[in-house]
Amino acid sequence: MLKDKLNIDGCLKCSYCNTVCPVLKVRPDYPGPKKLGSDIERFRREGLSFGEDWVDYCLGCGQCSLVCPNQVGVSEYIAEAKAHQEKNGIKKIRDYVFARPALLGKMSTMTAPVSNSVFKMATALMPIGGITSHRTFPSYASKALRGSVVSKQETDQRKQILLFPGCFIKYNDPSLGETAIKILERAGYLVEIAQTGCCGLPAIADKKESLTDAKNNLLAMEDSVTRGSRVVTLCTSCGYTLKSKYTKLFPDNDRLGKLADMIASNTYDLGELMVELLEEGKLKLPMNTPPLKLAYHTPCHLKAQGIGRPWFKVLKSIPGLEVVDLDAGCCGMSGTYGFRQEKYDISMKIGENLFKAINENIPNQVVTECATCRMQIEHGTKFKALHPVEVFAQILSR
Amino acid sequence: MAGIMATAVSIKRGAKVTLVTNGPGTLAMSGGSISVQGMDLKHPCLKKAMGFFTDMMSAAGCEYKGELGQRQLVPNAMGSFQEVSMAPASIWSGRPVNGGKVMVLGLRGLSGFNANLTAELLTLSAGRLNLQVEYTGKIMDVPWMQTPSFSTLDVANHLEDQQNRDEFAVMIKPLLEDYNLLLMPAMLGLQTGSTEFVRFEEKVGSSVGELYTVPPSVVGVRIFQCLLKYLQKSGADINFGYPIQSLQLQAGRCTAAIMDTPGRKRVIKADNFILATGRINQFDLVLNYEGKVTEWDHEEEAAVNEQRQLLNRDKLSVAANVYGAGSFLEGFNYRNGNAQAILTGYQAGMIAAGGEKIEC
Repeated sequence: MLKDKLNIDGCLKCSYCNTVCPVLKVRPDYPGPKKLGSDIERFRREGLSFGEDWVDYCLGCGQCSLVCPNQVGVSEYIAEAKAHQEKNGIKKIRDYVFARPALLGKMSTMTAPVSNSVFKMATALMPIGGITSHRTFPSYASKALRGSVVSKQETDQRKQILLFPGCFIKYNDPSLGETAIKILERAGYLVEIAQTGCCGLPAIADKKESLTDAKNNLLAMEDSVTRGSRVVTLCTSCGYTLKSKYTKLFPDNDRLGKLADMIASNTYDLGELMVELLEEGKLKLPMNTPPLKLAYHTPCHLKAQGIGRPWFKVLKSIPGLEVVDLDAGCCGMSGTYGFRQEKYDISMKIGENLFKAINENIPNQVVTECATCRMQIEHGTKFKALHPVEVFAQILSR
Repeated sequence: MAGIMATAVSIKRGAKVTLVTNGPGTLAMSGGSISVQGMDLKHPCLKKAMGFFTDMMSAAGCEYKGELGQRQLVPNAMGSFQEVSMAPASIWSGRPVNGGKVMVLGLRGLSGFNANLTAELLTLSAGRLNLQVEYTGKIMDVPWMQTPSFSTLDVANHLEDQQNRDEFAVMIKPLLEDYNLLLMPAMLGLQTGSTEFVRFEEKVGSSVGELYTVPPSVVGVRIFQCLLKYLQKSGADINFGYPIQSLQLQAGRCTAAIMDTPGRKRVIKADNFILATGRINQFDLVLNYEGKVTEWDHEEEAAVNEQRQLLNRDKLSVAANVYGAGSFLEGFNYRNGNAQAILTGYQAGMIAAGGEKIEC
């Protein structure tokens, strides 16, 4: 029986999901994925509500579903409960904005750098809006990310990549996207930037919005993917969403369903593509690298993709690099979770193990694929964190 | 356990190994103790397999105690004894010793465990076995659990931190003056290794034994995590969470295993494949003979031949390079499941990595 045919009755009550839940590790009063997911889902299906105050505390890391011996969709049940949660007041407004990072991104990039100054000045006032004052929003960029600029002849000759930028690269860090484009071009690809919006994962508790995001993105990528382009992401959460979420969203729409399947099967994490190139002998690794100690953190949504740790593999293959596997669990940031005032302490407590591991290792550089993991690492330690492709590009340029 | 064992043995024999695992299997519910009841102790591979296993556990930092020929009783939270030959060190420490005075410690608010009841039942069980052991229950208040009810997992999460364990030991020590063994439900952290356990015993000033509890089994999960870390350090490429969907077969050999990953199925190519799927999960495996698909019925017991090659219903090998190990094979006996897993995992790993019949 394949996992999509399994249902709630596959839950063996082994509670193994509880052993990997980052929230339960720091909050014993949190009911945990077994109760909030498969146990209470039975009541929800009968129209009874339990534990609704708690579902909002789920990080959405997906580790409970991942470790379930029968792959019961524990985190999906919790997400479904989140979508039915009634919110009001400030939290409702805050969560509306947080579910729409592209909206915030568009507005802020249009007005950058003024918007950045405003956010900085308003930090102390953030708690009024249910946002912690312990963090500052990442800066918004005023420049837009552009794809490869080449002649028509080259376009016909070279393999094409459709880069799904995600909100962070699009609005906050286009230079990371530019770095990835250079590496891809060096490997012989032409890169087109997908004219897409938010992947929809932040709106998981807002079904209508997440469906709109998914539909718009699918249609925006249809032409390129149909022509044979591969979709590449640098954000593990976007990649996870494109691969595993969209395919379940349109059971009644044959066209969108097929398109979602096609895009899911053509989506690659950049690291995944790099490993493929490495194995095919098409990626030349830098030699004579100066001795550098990198500390690698595995994002939860990379684990959830089931592709192993491709960047870890690539970096480990570079002679001269020492790559430490931090193996210290979830960072606790989970997108905007760590920005929410009532969740800030939980977020930081979850991250303690990771901070400790980084501080003990004293690396030259921390690397991880996820943008919000990087934000959390920089917030919780004195170390800077980069996407692995940035380190890879730096080494190449030496 | 069979898959882990096969991985470790194959690596030891110089093979490059990809492990596809869907979780700890029965270790999430049991505690990893090993019984050889009903097994042929003269099996030529059994001693070597157990020796390899003991060394591996020691190297991984989650030590096992006991020996193949031993029959020892270890207590559990239900107040009864279980016969084992080997067990994780913290479980092994709980063995009853004649004349022993044992304190069974519970925490106020800890669900699924009543120290007084367990002590009473253990005293009765010991009496029936003509053992002179005195078990006394003691319930302690702990300031760090703020909720009215909590589980052993909640306590284990708190005691993951060494400082917290040390503080806990300081709280317990004064209670133990009249006792020579402390028994408590397994809750000393999910990553507590042998060294940390010895440190806890030193801080407490007494022997400490852990009791198996209701799932999730803290001891079992601890062993699984310890072994995964060990295998990863040893060079195994570990793929967690997505099962093998099908085996691609061609001209009598398996060419690839297909993982049921999101978006795109992941193809794993190898020279040899070991199937050690256990009995816990409900995934059916598809055997794809050059496009002709047959579903492997998970409810039907599988068999292997002398070469550990997996056999189909007609008792013919599925492929020359597909081997079987663990509890999904015929002859499974729940009393010796872990021992069988270790033995068959050892054999499969030896053959798959060595490519020939093994002489134990």
